[in-house]
Amino acid sequence: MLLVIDNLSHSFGGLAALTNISIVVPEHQLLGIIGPNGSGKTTLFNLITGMYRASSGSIRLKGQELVGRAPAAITRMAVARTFQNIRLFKTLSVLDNVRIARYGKAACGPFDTLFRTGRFLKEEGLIIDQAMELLTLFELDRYVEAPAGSLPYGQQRQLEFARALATDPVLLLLDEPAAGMNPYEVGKLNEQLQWVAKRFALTIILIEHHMGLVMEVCQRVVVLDFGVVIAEGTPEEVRNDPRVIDVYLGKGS
Amino acid sequence: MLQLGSIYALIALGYTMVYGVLQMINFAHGDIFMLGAFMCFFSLTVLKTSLGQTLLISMFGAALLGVMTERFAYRPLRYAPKVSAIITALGVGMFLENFTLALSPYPKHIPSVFNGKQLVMGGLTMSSLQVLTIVLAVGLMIVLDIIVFKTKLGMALRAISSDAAIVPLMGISVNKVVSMTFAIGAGLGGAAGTLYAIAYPVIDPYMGVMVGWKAFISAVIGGIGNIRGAMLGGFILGFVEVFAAVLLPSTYRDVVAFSLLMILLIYRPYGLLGRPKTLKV
Ligand SMILES: Nc1ncnc2c1ncn2[C@@H]1O[C@H](COP(=O)(O)OP(=O)(O)OP(=O)(O)O)[C@@H](O)[C@H]1O
Ligand SMILES: [Mg+2]
Repeated sequence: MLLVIDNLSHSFGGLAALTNISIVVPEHQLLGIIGPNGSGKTTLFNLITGMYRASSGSIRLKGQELVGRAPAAITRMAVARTFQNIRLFKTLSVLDNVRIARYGKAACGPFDTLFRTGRFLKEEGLIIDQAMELLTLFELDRYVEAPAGSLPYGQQRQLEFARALATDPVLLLLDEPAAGMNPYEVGKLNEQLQWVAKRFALTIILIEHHMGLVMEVCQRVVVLDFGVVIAEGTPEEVRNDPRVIDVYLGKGS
Repeated sequence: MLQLGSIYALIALGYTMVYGVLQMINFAHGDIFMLGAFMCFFSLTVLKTSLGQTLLISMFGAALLGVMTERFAYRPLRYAPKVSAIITALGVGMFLENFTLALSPYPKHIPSVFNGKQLVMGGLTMSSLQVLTIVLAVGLMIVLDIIVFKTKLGMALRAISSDAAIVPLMGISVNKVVSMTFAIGAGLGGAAGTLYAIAYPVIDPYMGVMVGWKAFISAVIGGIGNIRGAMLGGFILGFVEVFAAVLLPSTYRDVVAFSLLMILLIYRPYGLLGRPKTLKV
């Protein structure tokens, strides 16, 4: 198992956002997480990435405990994420947004950097090459010098995706990547998720409200409601689960 | 006037860098500058160092002090309300002033390290000391500019002022970057302290207060958080002050400086090179 979440709970003051969540994710799986607004999906990502510290329970990545570690350390253990409301370094260039994601693992210290040693120049060249390769892959190469904040919405999502990959993740957490997309774009995202997962040998947890996408891309789906796992299984099983139907149709109608 | 301006600019960089990463005004920074001047005194009189060594000692000493104030005074309050950080900074400043006062109750005289050789360039007459101050200050600013715009550390700095919360998700520890920011900012303040002490050789524990305010004004004039703005603001203020002293009784110097700030803020609330920050939603 790549990721083992065991009896995880989190509350904000008196509000229990997650209660006794247990989820296991095997390597190379695409796991979907669905659930109504406020059911605790994003909170789960914030706990895994160390942005919040869990009130209780444990999260283990390849057997190593993540709870209590700083976000930077967790990122260096090869966990990356994107955000529901895109978060880029808006004033930095598109290229720099990807470059900075590779710096966390760069070997050169301030001395090398300041005095432009051979080691630095070699590493810097490599980082720029790798960044350009990623940007080309995501069809962002023509924006390289533009400030990230100036890109159209769709390209900002792509850039955030590329930046997450630039940290060399094993586990990638995507928070509603299809939000605000039209059906055509969702179709493209669908394809992209599948080839990116293969090419980078990723395990992906995908939070998504877009049912069609989840059903097609994910091998397994977990359903959250009010911070509790109410169902889990293949897309097919989950779709037909009476509790899930109740939560979705009960609220929708 | 370039000399005074370059000293303001060096100190202003410390204010603006810290503001850029923490959105906090480090009111103790003027006192780091003051301690830079005292380290210069100590180094010249006790250690009998050369000017170059003196400069290095005061820069490293001030850098260390800057890192320590951040680590022990500001970091515990990183997520506390802004007012707490401001009050703490004022407190640190008072502590540094009174600590120095306890060690050195009387003003100190910096031994002269420079003969008064005059250099004539074009129609301009400058002392070699003035030339040296300007060259050193500008040199340090160029190095800083390279750090900020061409290095990993600089990129991390700019990323933090763009969106600090997600910098750790790049695998970069914000605390390390903040420490480096304080080291560099305070180091430049220490250099300014030495250059100032050599030019105006009577130093006392309160010398950092007014100079610190002026440097802070320079940073605001340039657009606080903007590195090149701080340099520009320092030189502008240096110019204006010296001209004011020529045209008006010299006691009006500070009035002119503060008036300049107020007038500028009416027309350009974000300073000359600053840009308004759009609110995050
Ligand atoms: N920082 C916070 N402080 C207080 N309460 C919070 C905080 N973050 C989330 N919550 C609350 O925790 C609950 C779960 O929120 P969360 O953002 O995880 O939901 P979500 O499933 O991602 O919803 P959505 O589909 O709308 O994104 C909500 O009731 C929310 O109001
Ligand atoms: Mg959410």
